[in-house]
Amino acid sequence: MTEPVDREKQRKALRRALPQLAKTGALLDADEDLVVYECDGLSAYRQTPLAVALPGNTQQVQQTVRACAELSIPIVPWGAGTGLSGGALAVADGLVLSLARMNRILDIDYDHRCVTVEPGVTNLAVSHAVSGHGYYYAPDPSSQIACTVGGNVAENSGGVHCLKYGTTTNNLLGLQIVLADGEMIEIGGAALERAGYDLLALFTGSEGLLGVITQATLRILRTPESAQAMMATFDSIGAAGGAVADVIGAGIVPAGMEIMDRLSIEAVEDFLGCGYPRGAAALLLVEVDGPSTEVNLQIAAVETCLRQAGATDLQHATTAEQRQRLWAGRKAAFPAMGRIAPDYYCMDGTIPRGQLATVLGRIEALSEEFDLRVANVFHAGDGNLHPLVLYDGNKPGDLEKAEELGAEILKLCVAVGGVLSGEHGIGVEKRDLMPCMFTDDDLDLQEEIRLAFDPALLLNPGKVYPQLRQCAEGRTHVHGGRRPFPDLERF
Amino acid sequence: MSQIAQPADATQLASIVEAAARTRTPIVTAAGDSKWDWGRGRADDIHSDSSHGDSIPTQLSLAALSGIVDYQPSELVLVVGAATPLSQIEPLLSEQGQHLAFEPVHWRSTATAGGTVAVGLAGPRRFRAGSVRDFVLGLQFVDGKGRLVRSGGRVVKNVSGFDLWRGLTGSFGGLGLITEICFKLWPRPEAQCTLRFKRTQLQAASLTMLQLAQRQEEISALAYVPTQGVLARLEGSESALQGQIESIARDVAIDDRLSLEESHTLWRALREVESLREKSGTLWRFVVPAAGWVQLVGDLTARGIEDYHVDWGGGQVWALAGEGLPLKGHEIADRVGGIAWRLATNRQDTNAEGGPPLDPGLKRLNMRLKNACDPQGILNPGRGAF
Repeated sequence: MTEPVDREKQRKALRRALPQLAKTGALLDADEDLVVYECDGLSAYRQTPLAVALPGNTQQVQQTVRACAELSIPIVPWGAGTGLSGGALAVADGLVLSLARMNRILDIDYDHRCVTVEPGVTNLAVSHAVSGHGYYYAPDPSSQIACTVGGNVAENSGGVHCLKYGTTTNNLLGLQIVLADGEMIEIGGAALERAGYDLLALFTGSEGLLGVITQATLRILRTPESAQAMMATFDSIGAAGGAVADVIGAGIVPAGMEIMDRLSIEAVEDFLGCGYPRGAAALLLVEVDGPSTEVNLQIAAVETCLRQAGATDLQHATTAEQRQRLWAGRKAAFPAMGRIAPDYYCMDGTIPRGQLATVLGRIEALSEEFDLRVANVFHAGDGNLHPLVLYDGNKPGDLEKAEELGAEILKLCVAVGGVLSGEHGIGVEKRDLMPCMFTDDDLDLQEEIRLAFDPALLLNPGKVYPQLRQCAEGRTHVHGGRRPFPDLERF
Repeated sequence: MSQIAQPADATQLASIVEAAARTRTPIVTAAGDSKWDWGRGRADDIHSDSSHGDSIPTQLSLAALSGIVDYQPSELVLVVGAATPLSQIEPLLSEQGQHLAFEPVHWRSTATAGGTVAVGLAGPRRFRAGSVRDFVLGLQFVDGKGRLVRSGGRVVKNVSGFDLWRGLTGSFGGLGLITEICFKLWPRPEAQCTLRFKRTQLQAASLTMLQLAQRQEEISALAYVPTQGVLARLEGSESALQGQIESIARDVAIDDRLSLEESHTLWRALREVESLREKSGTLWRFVVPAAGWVQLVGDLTARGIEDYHVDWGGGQVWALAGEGLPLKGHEIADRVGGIAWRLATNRQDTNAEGGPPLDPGLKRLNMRLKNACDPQGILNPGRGAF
């Protein structure tokens, strides 16, 4: 950009191009109205947008996108802004396109076990809408009370049940999308396959770079007849990791498997006092679900595996209430960190399960090297690791150290055969680490596809793909105390 | 006849494609060639503007890209070269009590992993477990410029860049030539049991299927075969299956239970469409919203088609149009909101109706993706069912 953008001129042009939105208060451009949109869940990055549009239907989304294309105004699609990688971070001369007003459930079809919704419907609202009939929507990101289906599709959100039930992409049947030029297309529906290339798969997890999602058809599942959970204590992280491998080796795919390390256990006990074993090196939670006869057998097999792997203490939950109690500590792990450190920085890499002991050993060494504590919670079923780097933002140099340590951890994940992000997305946060995982050719092809869909690069610019192609040192962090949505459970 | 070259490895394949892109020479690939009758036709639509003229395609056998690269049972992950035969993979997984849960369709005995992914066709367990692309975690492939590219990884949870690997699944080698695949594996259920519900009326059969599809038991496959009725396969632990059967029997009368051997034979036959393929005629495959299969079958039988079976809980219908029975399959499918594929009857069959037509907007978008991955339009022209 050689010429600075005249913000007032652009705002006026938008108002003129979108009279209907402007007239109904669905086009915000007063500074005080824009504050809410200056950051998503990654609050370390802040930017006030040029304006915010709140279209109420697909046609208005099309009008907005067309107006932006004409005026060369970048668009940042926005669901609920709960994302943790800055994927919805505004750009200064760009429009935030909020889908919040498009929050209707359009159709519930039990014959085909699917639900069609507008993008602003929250994740949990889908399950709520069908729970009376004994159904639920499987992907359950920890922010599910607030995050929207549109955002879930854009980030291919998962949850604690990914190994058994998959992420968003595995539970999606159809999309309506507005492309960068304003054209609307529909892909899929109640049928299990679609004509042409699998564009549904390509759009899912594309972080708002390929189009704006205006409708989604989601697969719903019958609520399992029964669920039981077991908690076990181990003398070492390695033994807990071994138990996970044994459970899978025994032919069981649990609905959820979670490991917490010593520091996480201590923090949770300080915070909640929920009865987790203080002093234990590792704690493993396993939940199985399905038909009750099957679940009874599986939980018995799980118990055998855990005992043989050296579990020192076992607790078995058969009722929903008991299960919730076992899970309570795990779900409080993130907020609990606030008790033992002023700030924390949450990482999100995925590793092959078998590398857990190696990776945690290496993280421990890094933790000593950088003189910062790291607590670890691990979705052991699907290999998604959330190291929480503890630091004190008021201590000079601490934050920078935490950032460096975080980047080292992500590089480590990639080095052992894992990936940069399991569920938070690349966004702006991990953008510059992409060359650690992909070659120039890999990235070139991805960016060529992006260009084919959005030649002017107006959709969510500055996200996912690095500006400079080198394996950069990380410069990313979350200031725990200032995180938006402090009321959301994060796990 | 052009000669069939056989690149020794992925790097060699990449340089062949790079050279072909420079001269705009089309490349036609196969490994086991087990599904040659799939995905022919319609591709000329996509590159009608390309000027291959009469250039003779380079035929490549990818057979050398074979072998188990990495198998870690406790990770539920298998990495193989694209040309690794299913006949090598399946026994290996079976030894460890695992399998490819989408139930790969072999079609012919030479079927490979790469062909399975390129065609993207799943078997009866698609009803419950998901499709091929739901069990692919990552791919290595050569794109249309001759670049050897990786997409995805070896882990289940991965939001790092576009999900190209899923987009390539089912693309018939039109977006890239797959060289290596990472599969997500699943434990093989210990036992199975197939229940039969005799239904002679289509409406009654449809109702039973809908009822069964909405239950909590682990029904892994649900089909309707005109001569037999509704068939439901339960899978799970040996000692827990009885409980599931009893629970179904409380609500729906079960007519009989197939023996284990009968059960295995039945689902293999349905997966491979054996009874229809034994006869001569044109094979059509329909994918429809499950509740629409009765109308579709009604339309088919009204046109004299008697050979068909219904799979995926009503979501997939296979039908054989006998000789001299021309079928407007796409129209019939469209009436119930579904899509259709026609299989080529021989290698010379141009099969103009091979794949489902795309509406103009979707077609443009498909072209954009194709052009980005294969700007010269050289990868497997004539394949890819759209």
